[in-house]
Amino acid sequence: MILNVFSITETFIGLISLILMGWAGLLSLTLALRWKRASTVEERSEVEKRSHLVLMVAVVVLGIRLLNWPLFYATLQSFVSDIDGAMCIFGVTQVKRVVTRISEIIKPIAFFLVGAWLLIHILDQKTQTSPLMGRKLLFLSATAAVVVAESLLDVVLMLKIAPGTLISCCTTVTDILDRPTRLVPKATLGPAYASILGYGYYVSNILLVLILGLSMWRLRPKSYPRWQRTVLGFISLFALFNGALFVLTQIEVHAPKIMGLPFHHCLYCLWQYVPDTILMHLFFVLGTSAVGWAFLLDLVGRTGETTDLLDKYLWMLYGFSIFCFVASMVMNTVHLVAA
Amino acid sequence: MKDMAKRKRLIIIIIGLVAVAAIALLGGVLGKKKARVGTGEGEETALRCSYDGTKLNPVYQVDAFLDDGSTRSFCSIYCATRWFEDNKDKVIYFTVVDEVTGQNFDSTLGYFVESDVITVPEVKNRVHAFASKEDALKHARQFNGKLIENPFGEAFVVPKIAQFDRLTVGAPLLPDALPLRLAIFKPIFKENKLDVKVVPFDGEMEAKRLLADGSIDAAISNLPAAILLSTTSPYAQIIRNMLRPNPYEPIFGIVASPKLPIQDIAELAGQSIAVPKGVSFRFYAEYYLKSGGVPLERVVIKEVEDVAKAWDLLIEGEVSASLLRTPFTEIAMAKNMNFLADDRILTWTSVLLVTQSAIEKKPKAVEKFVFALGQSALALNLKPREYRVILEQKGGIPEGARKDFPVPTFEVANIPTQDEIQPVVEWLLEKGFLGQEIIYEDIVNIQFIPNPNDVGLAFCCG
Amino acid sequence: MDSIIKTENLSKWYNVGRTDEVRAVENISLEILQNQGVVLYGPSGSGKTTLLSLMGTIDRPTAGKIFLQGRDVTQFSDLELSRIRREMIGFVFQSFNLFSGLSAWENVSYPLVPMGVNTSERFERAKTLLERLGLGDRLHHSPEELSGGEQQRVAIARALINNPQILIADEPTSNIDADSIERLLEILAELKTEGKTIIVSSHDPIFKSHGDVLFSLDRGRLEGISYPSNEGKEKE
Repeated sequence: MILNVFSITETFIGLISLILMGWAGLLSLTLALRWKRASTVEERSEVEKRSHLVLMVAVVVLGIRLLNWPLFYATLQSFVSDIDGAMCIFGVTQVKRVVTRISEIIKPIAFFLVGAWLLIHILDQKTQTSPLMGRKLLFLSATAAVVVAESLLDVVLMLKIAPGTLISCCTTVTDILDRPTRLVPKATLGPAYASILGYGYYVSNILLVLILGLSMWRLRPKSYPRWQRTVLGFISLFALFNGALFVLTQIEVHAPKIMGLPFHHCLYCLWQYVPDTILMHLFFVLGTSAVGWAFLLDLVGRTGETTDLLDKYLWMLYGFSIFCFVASMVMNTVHLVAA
Repeated sequence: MKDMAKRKRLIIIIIGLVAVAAIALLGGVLGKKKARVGTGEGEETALRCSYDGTKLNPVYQVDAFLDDGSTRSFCSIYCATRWFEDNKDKVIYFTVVDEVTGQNFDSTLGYFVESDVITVPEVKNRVHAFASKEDALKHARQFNGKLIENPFGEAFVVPKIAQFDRLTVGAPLLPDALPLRLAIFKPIFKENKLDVKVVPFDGEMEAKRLLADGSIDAAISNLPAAILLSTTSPYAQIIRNMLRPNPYEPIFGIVASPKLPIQDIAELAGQSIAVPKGVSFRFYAEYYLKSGGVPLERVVIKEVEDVAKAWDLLIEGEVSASLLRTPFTEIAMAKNMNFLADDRILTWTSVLLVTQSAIEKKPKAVEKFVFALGQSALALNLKPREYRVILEQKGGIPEGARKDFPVPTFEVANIPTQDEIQPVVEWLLEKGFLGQEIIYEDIVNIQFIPNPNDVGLAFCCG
Repeated sequence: MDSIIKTENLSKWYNVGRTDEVRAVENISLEILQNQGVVLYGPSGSGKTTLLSLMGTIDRPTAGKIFLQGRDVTQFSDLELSRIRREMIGFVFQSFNLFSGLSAWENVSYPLVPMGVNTSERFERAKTLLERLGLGDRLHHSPEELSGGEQQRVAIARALINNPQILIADEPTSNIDADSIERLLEILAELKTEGKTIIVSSHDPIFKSHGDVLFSLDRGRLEGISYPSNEGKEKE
């Protein structure tokens, strides 16, 4: 194990999350089943009473887990100087490749689920009869499972990762001519793929922002037309597509330009050399997540009692998403102009 | 109230966006400083690899000099070759670092070995560069490697605007040619967009032949020989000094045999003196004897093949004295041998001679050549210890004396004056080597000499 | 006057379906209007306290409905009921339930802590109430240093700290002396004149002649309704 403030914090948070969310996941599943079976007010009240602690623990632990995603990368960054051959986070990820790769895939999923659950919980707290209790508990158990897996991977990684392994860093992978992020766009878009991607990034983002703005204007919670959920779903899909396009464009076009290294396509190096791009990417992630959260909130949280509240939340989420996308675009553009 | 809230929200959003833009601007500026790579004109040296931003280790650094005058630095041969694939038409030269001496030099002169040893772990570079084949083979044997072809190739393609001028220069195996040797080893000529070939020669006759048949455009020569060559076809002109004696280091000297108790030049009357073949040696021998008041007819002048032979005869005591030239004069000084006469207070130098044809057809090339030689001389004068390996390898110094041989000091930009050449001209006339008086301006061309203040260090020597 | 609390077929059973099943409250429907003084009268075990707990939303009914200010709170979540209790209802428990580790003013101001009210404001509000109830010189005394009547007044002050519309007192006379009982009745009458709805459960006959409405309970059922204040007026 490499001992420093980050690794100790990460290990500690991982262990606590593992234990508490393991417990919370099991208990919430039990309570969700009991809630489903409860036919009287007394039975429901009993479930509610028992859920107070688990929900409180979940809010605290999951709130901390939201911050764990950037902490994870900060921890990996702190290991760079300890790993022979690493010049950025990529090198560190090569030490325990499988564990780290799975971790990197799980973390955004966990981040999304945790955010969604917290929003559902907040929505439910604002109601009078807590109509989302059953769904909330079930969702918590599913989220807890993912968070437990994530925490376990964190702990394993922190304990297992150690200096002494000679690895090669990003150049040998991210800069080779037959990298997928180059080959696929080149095959589909042609030799001018870089400039198409560059323009495509702006077109896609601006279009998404406009769609979100239009949706905010047109959201009709009281009447709730049948098409509204479909539209929300479509927007979420589009946001996902936009996210993929963003990542591709960053790797192939923007990161090399911002770093001033025209042949280097490593996002980890971008974070290292231009640290405020972390904020830029964070804005984008939050914007994309907010769109997904809105859809999920509508899917899970819509009841007779939540209709009015939901409208406000969807509106806020979309507004937040627009701000995040615009902020990300502004930062990106400033970097490209200054590069 | 609602409107106020709306306005407040809008203001907060706008402030937020302005704040993130400011963060991005600041971050971009700071990030650029951190990942600074390569140089434009007048900027500081690179800190990180121009390909992937890895920190540079000077021992493995590769530098590219581009046709627009800018440079790029790379952490390893791996990154440099990757970058080169997309930038072939921009590169004037690459320098790589000799892993034994730490000297950077022209990559086309290097020997490359791929072995088990990783130099730069971030990219797992296994290609090593050496200036000497011997060192390369030694590394290959030691670390399971093999000699490979130059990963950059032998030539670089550059755009039309940066076409290289060409010159062929004859150079004796003497310390005088050190600036020339250095300018090849460190690609100072290439930095000046000049392609220079060096043709070695031994002796004035060979120099004359090479000039006559057009094999060379220029030659380094002693002054008397140079004056003679400039007046015979093909006509040539002296355009630059090469090596000048100084109060500590003579070039030509008459040295007494250690086996004989001769203390003064006057004691050479009736004795034998070994003099190497050639007009220049003859001139110095007669000048010294005449200056010492020794009648020429009283001295037995034994003409020998070369300076090495004269040295051998001197050491063995077969002659009473020998006329020696550097590097042997330095060797004699190191052995505390008795100098009966030398040029420590004289002003004659070896010079660079260029054919009239080259001057007329390739004036730009000649100008760049002289300028580059000045840069090379400056580098040698500033860091003699750094470049002594070239002196040892190419300075014509006998093996036993290489280690302690001092690196000479060179003039950055100068030509022989009329006063300096006049005595030589007079002697040549007296001896019948010259048929008629010559005009200074006919044999010395001052147009190519740069202002010494304008001659700065080349990038590759910086 | 508007209805403030209403029950419909309210029942509370314990250990349902078991041999030791207890039907503490059985099918009670009643209505309490704003600013009424209400007494739930009956012997021990008649279901007074249980009914009080149900009306005060502390407990959940097994069957039936409860309406607070016209809203059916039966299905409300615990969190929402907590909010309602905090805003609308003040409780005075039979055994007062004061915290022995806190002083009188701290006990009184305790409900303000989760609302984020700062210490100085809490003290001022507690002080005002305690002075009004004649305990101005007992602010810093702990409950052990107070008599039964004084403790009860502290409990009443605590129940009033959020200015609730409804004050519920469970067996308020059971742990105090006669003088304190007199004092208590005066306080309750005073509060009623301020517009509060007072609901008291007691088996003490003294309440038979006090209050606007008296609900008689026996074995969990509503046996009768009488109007002591009207009877008093008729007598007059």
